[in-house]
Amino acid sequence: MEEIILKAENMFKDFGATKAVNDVTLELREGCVLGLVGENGSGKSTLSSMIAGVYPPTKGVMTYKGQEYKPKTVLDARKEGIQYLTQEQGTIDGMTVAENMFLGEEDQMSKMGNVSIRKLNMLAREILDQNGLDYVDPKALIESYSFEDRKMIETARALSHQPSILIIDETTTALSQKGRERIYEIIFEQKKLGTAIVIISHDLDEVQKLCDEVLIMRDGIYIDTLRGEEINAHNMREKMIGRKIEGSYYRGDFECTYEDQVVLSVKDLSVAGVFEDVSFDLHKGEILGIGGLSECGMHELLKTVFGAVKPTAGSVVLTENNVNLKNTTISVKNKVAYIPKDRDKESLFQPTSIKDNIVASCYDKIKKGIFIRPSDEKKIADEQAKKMEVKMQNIEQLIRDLSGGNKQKVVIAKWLANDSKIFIMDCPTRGIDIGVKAKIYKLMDGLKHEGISILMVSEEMTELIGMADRIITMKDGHLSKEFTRSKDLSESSIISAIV
Amino acid sequence: MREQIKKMVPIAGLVSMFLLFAFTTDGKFLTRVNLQNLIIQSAITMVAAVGTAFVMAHNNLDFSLGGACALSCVLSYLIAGQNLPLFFILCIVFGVVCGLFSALLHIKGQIPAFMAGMCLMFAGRGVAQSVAANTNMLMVAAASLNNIWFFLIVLVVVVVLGFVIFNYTKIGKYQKLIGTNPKATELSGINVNAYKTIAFAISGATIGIAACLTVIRSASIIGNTGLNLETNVLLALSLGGISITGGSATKMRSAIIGTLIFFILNNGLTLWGLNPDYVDIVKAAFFLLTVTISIDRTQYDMIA
Repeated sequence: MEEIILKAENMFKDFGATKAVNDVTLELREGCVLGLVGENGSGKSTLSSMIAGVYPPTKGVMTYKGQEYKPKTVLDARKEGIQYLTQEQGTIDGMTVAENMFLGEEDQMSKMGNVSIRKLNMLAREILDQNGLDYVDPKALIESYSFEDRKMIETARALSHQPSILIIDETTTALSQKGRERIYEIIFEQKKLGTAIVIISHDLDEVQKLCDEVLIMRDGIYIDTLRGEEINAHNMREKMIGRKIEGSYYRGDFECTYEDQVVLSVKDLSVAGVFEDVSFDLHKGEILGIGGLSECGMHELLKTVFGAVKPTAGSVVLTENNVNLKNTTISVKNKVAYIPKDRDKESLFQPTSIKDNIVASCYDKIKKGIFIRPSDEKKIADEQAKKMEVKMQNIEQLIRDLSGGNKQKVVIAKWLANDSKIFIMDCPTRGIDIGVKAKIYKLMDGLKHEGISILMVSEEMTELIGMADRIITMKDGHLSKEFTRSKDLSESSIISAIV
Repeated sequence: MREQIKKMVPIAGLVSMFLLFAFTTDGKFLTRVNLQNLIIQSAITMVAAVGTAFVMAHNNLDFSLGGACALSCVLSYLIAGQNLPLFFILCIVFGVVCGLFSALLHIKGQIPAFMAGMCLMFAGRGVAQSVAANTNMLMVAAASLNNIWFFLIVLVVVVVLGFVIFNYTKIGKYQKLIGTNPKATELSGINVNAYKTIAFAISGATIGIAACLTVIRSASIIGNTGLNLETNVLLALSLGGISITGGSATKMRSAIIGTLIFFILNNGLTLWGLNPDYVDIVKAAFFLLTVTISIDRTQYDMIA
């Protein structure tokens, strides 16, 4: 076996009364890829954050290259050769690409306290070129690049000093297929160079493909380590949840079933420069999937269908009453629901309670005259939160204290509370653990059978294949192909239509 | 626990200040005349604060208050003259127009609302002063309403209405949602601009009512009518522990508690015989102290 680079023994981390990590030991070896797997809130990010110097452990000793290791900050850890890539944006807007790349390292490039911008830009150019980012201008402002490019720039920075340990924390979740492939390449290259790699991911296929070892956590506790042949999605899922999984994960049937009645008709819809001439019909009781790369315009398409973005041409019409969905108020009044991709920024009222989040869309329904009675608010919020099985103390609990999956349940509860008939969902299971994911799939299937229609954008091919009656693919702002639900539909046939 | 203490600071400040002055002014503070004075003084600011709270809840500041108040008075006088009922109605109408003007600049012109308000404050003051320089605007008839009961009735009606609209109707609820997350509010099917406009209209209406009370109190309109109303209202709301960035933490009680603290402090210090110049310094120090303890700092948190 390869040499151990880092050993973290009996690690504990408490946040107030919460034991986020509870006595976990982990070893990282040269050229070995370790997967950290667990549901949301299982402590895997906290564990890796301690290694990366984000928080000090409450208890526990880390040994790095034979010496005791106590990083005080992320920069400390970086200097030691431990690089940490996260899912969130790690760059600072308003600064150039080069300034971002050398943030915190200016000292080493300065002469008498003056940082030479030219030198900075030259070095940045070199590093960007080495990482296939020759189209990125080091002098440009970082925010002029897409999220994916910024992530790649961050990655290039992390690799610019050969790291000994590379931690990749759900970085691929927000990337397109192309971006993911690039990260996978980097992992293979680094593995060859002897870097110890930690991967945190909800995508179990990805974990299976990349990892030599998988450490499974649940509620902050170490559960098991899987190696070689033992690493497969089924094994991991069972250990993560801690019980046998019964029945199927996605929809059980492989029939394309929906009624003939068209409920929503999108005609020649365009937003200049984003997507063009998109037309499709959504039927009663249909789950219509839209697949594509993150930048193909599908996310903007959903926003436009909901009325949050003004189209430059075309129309979105509810066929039942011939209403044009011109703005979000009309949409919601006509029982259309929208679940955004960016949960924290676009769907949640973070500092408020579960109750306030649920009732936000249905005041018109519960008001008596012009008045809203607190008891009615409580009643409807309680009903819907219980229906969605939100894990909570009570509906007065603050939404920001919930895990990602439970937050999403609240978002869905909010739209159920308004008796929505059409659901527009943008990546409804993004960053959500398997337990909740399964629940959302089951709910979608249930809604479908009640005659509710769902328009879903997803970046996960398996999700589209598993749930949708029809799948429309998008490529560079145009519809490219349509697939009908069947057992034989393969990921590769869809991918070939989107890239 | 910390949160609980923060919530208690304004009310505890009010009670302790009341007790302090009750026991240290040889009973002067608790005399009927003094308490009546206190209510009449507070009424104008409190009425305006109730309206301003709606604007603050959706995370805007209304800086037009003093100027808008003077402007409504002057314009109404020029039209209605000594016709008192018409004058009052016009005051409120012009107040609402001022609010809508701020909303228009803010929403259609995409200018921060406090800047639009500041323009209105200066312009309104300018108009009032130039008219007052050439016209004697005495309103002797208004003085007949200058008694504690009238002020008390207006105050109670405005506060109760404000409280109900703020807590039990869509208008108030939506202001708090917009202040918390405007994007999510829009994506929940709520017309953000329409509800912001309503908040400015409410604020304008209370400015109009405050203008009426001001005229009743002084029986005339002068160039300085309503001077410093915006600063007094913002100070009072802050003393009452209002959330400066709006959102779900905004409470209507801040308008009531804060205004009372502001004027009791003023009144008590004067009764102590403190030089009026020092009164302002003590007020500033007290302001800094309460705000430091009670302000909501979540916006400064780097890591949630």
